[in-house]
Amino acid sequence: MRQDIQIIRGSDRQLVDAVLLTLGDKHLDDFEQRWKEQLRASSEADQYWDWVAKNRIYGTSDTVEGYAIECDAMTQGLMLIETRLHRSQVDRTRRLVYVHSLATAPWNRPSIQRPPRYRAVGATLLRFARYRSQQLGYGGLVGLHALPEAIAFYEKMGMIDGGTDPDMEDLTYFEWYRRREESE
Amino acid sequence: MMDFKLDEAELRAIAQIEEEADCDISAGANWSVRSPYAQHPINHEKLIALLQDGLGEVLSLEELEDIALTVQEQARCRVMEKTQSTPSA
Repeated sequence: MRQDIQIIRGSDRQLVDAVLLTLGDKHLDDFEQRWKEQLRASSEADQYWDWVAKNRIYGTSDTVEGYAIECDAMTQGLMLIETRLHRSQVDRTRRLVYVHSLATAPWNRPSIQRPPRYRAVGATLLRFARYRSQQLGYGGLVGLHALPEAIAFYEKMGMIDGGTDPDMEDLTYFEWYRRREESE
Repeated sequence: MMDFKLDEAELRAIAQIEEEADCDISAGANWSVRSPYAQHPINHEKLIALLQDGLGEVLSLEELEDIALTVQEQARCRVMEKTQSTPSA
């Protein structure tokens, strides 16, 4: 999958061309070579995440899809989604796309760099998860567990706060839920 | 199925949300070898309940506990195997 998109440059708020595509070795290399050191030196909640290991554990599953956003020949955001096994916590009869992992490059985070190099990277990936949910016939339902620093973002994106989940390191569960008639 | 597209207004709206939230957007559990989640991959109470549902009339609780502990250990070892080649994780 390869889709031309646009994101927003942080310095002048201009739209710039980017591409959203299937997660590949180039993106994992960018993580290893360019993201990892900056994240380790930060106090971000995902400072010890290892996308290479995540991809090795989950990326081979038939139900997991990986995506990346590239701009300036560099990986700007990464996402793994699970497409068949998760159900809505609002309506257990309905399936959803579950965002297994989502992160943006360290230079796109206001906690690390102001202004961030690019804006709308993470939100675009999240909207793409909703698009996949619609494609799969799940009506746009999306679920995820937000890291503590990200809760305000998911609240503002209009997702339902499902509370902390003791099975998932006490992370807060969020869901984009729409009734069936709203989804059609 | 149409391509995935965000028009400029949508893009600026979600960028505005990011800016107002003024925070990271990361999501997902910390699946690394340092994570307690990786050390105990399955909720033990849920696993026991599942085993009781299927085998509770045949096996004792003690036997089910033995099975659950074996499953937990095997799951933990598999997770560790898959993450060990990246020791910095």
